[in-house]
Amino acid sequence: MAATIKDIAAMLKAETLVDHNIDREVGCVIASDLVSDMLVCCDAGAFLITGLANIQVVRAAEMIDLIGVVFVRNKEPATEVIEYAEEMELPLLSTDYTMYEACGLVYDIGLRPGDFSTRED
Amino acid sequence: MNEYFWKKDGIEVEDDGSNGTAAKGLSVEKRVKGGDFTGAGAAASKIKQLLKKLPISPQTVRRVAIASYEAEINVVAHADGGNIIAFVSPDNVKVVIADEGPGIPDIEQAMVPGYSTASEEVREMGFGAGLGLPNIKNNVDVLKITSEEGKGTTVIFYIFFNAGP
Repeated sequence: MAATIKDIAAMLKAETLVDHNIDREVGCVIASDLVSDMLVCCDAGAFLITGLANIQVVRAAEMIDLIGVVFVRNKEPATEVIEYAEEMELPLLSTDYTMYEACGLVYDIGLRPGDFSTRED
Repeated sequence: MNEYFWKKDGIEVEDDGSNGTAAKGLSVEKRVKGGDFTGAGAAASKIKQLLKKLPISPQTVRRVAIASYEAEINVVAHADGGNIIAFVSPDNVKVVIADEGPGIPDIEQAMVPGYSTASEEVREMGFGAGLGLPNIKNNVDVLKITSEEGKGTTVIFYIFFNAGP
């Protein structure tokens, strides 16, 4: 059975900051603190684990069609970040776990990485 | 003047240099402010919103959005400011990003993944990994860059609706 964002929130004992679309199924997961890295992911519909909590994370999410984001180590995004995510209907979570722990726990419920292979010339 | 030109195999494009090909309602024009990391991405967002309303595949819309966003971030990170214009034609979208920045002395080097001249501030925002221009190339069908040191850089790309992944 595929996991939903709600399942990830439960697994990571996460606080839900934006609760739109949290019943959506997660196709794959990426983890990075670099927006430049996120933008190379080939899969639409990926879920992001990150320690970066600025407005550009939500912008990047919009561009690459992410379906949700969790901030690790209880990072608190600014109000404007939450407001923009509300507008985009992008679910945002915040967890106490570290990046490494969060990745391990999410891998454990069967979720696999997004595709980062670059397009052939 | 430094120039770079690349196109995907099998793509034919004639760029007459004019930008007036889009029908009414099928273009987006936006000013980008240098150093404004809060507003950065607003132009790419506007382009994506326009394309989403048209009968274009989500994968193609995503490629245009990523390439436009990377180019917009470059303006914010390196230039005093610039303009982004997107034109939708029946079979392609053309995006022109012209900035008033320091220019790129060696474009071939800037195309190498990992090469970056970004400041610490830019890196703190999650950018400056040296993947911007290579990732633009990865998502487009035609890429043209012209740059003059001390004056600025113009990036032009095309994405065709029936080509690419």
